[in-house]
Amino acid sequence: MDKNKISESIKGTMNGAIDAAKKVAKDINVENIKKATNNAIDGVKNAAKKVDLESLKKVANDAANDVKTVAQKVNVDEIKERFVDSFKKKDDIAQEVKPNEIYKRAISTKSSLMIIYFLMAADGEINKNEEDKFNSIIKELDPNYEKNKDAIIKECQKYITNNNYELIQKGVDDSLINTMPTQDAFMTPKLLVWNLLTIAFSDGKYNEIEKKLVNFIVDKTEIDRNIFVELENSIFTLNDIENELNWIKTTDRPYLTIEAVVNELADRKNVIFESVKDLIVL
Amino acid sequence: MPLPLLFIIPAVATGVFGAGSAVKAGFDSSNAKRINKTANEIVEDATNRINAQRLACGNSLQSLGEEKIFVLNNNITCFLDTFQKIKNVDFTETEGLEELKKLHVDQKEFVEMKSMVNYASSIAGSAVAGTAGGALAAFGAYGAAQALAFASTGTAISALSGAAATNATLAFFGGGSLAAGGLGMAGGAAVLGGLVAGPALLVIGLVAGKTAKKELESAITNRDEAIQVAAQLEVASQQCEAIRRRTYMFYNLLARLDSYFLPLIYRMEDIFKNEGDDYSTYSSESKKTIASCASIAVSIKAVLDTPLLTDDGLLTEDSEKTATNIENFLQQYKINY
Repeated sequence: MDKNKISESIKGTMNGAIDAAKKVAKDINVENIKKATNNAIDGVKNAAKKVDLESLKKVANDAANDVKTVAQKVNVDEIKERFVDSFKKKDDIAQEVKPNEIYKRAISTKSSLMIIYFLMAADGEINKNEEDKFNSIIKELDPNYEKNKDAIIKECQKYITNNNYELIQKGVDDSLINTMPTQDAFMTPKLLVWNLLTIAFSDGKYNEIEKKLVNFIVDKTEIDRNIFVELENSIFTLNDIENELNWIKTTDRPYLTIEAVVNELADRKNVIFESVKDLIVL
Repeated sequence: MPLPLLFIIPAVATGVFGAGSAVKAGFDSSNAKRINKTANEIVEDATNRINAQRLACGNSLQSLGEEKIFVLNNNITCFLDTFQKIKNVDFTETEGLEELKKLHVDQKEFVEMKSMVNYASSIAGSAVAGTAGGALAAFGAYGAAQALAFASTGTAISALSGAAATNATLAFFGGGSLAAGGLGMAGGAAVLGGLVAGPALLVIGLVAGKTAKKELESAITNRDEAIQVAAQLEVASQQCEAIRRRTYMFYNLLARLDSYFLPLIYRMEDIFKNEGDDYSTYSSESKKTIASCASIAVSIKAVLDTPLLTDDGLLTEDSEKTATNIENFLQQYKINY
């Protein structure tokens, strides 16, 4: 079985396990448990008239405790905790991460896509160009998400009304808090922030609203501020190099004169890109 | 429509260092709990991390060295070719550029720049041929004055290569084999200001070798010793990271200054062609252009002059100050293409 099929299989199994656990958690209703327990106790009380009360009391209490234990066992937080544990066993991560703060280590592909969409929407309507960009990003991150693209956009739209920045930021916050990353479908916070910067700069501008939203994510995910500043500087540098390349094409100097510069600028872009990868991964 | 060109997909980021590296899944493993790990695993993980860091650091210094050479051989050379022909240069009367009035551009600065250019051109040929070895990393790490001082000991390239081999930290970054018995200079002297020494250095060499596991078992006899060695390696890893990040900061600053420099040089050449060689007769706009060009040249020289590492292999305070000054300069500078 090839690598892609294996990871798809693992992903499918994990998603299936998570869905099953969630379903069980939903099906367990505390009121029903209480009612069932009370019925059981009533039944036992009636029978107790004929038998030793102390012994029966003990049996009833034990039964009630068993039911409570089962109800406590399965809940969404525990699902997340199991996910965190699976990372600890498989990888070298051992920094303590509370299940509801998993976004400080990993952000699901779905949450990442939603946050990217929010960034695009933050400075106004999403135009056709941005929509196309979003489509190409979805295709690269996970081909399966193309099927769910409309659902992701619909979920984002709940937070995008009347250019209300606070609502969009709430959307980002909810995406992070509710993120459910799996082993094969996640981004690290640093990687997400870099990708957000590339999207913000893709139109040559990095406006105040975009800066505000990216800074919010940096603070929320507790990325080292110095690393964020270096990521920003890298983008500024790449932007300046791109401007110089565009300018040099308009000069009247012969190509032989500028060829070495053009080649050097291309090399510099590669070096900076590698430095960004080092910053994210090391 | 293609992805924004700089967008990184997760598989690329996590696969950067390939299989077998402790850097997996992009997570920060610097504080890995080691409760259930064996002594070998503890040390191997720490060693994999520091090896990844030192190689990345070596690459960054080499890239900075290459960039410095290019800037000197190209834009600084073009600048000097024209600027030194302009007579009666006086920036004190330049309107609108307050900082430039304080700029004392004297002949000494340009004599030094010329020396640097000559030095760089002697290295450039070897760099292109791929025989520069550790010389490029040394040129990246040292300030111009240090590098020029080496020239007195022989040809530029051999002097720098020699310096790279004899400086313990540069040798450590060189990426060469640290297998047992092959530590060379790095084995006998303090690396990274003494952060990596003795048992830790030995361990890096053992893990890198083919017969790693058995030798490692005999070298690290207990978990406590393993934890101590791993802790030392972790500190050294962090120092490597700090050096790499400062190096790339300088790389980026130099790249940005250089991107503003060439358009101004071309304008200066046009001014020289159209208005002659007497600065005092230039229009105020032309004077501003020449002054801006000179200020960028002096800023670039400041970057080239600043050493990144001390002789002991630690980051210099000067490098932090220069980085801050140039950042402030760039924030106020706007280029109109």
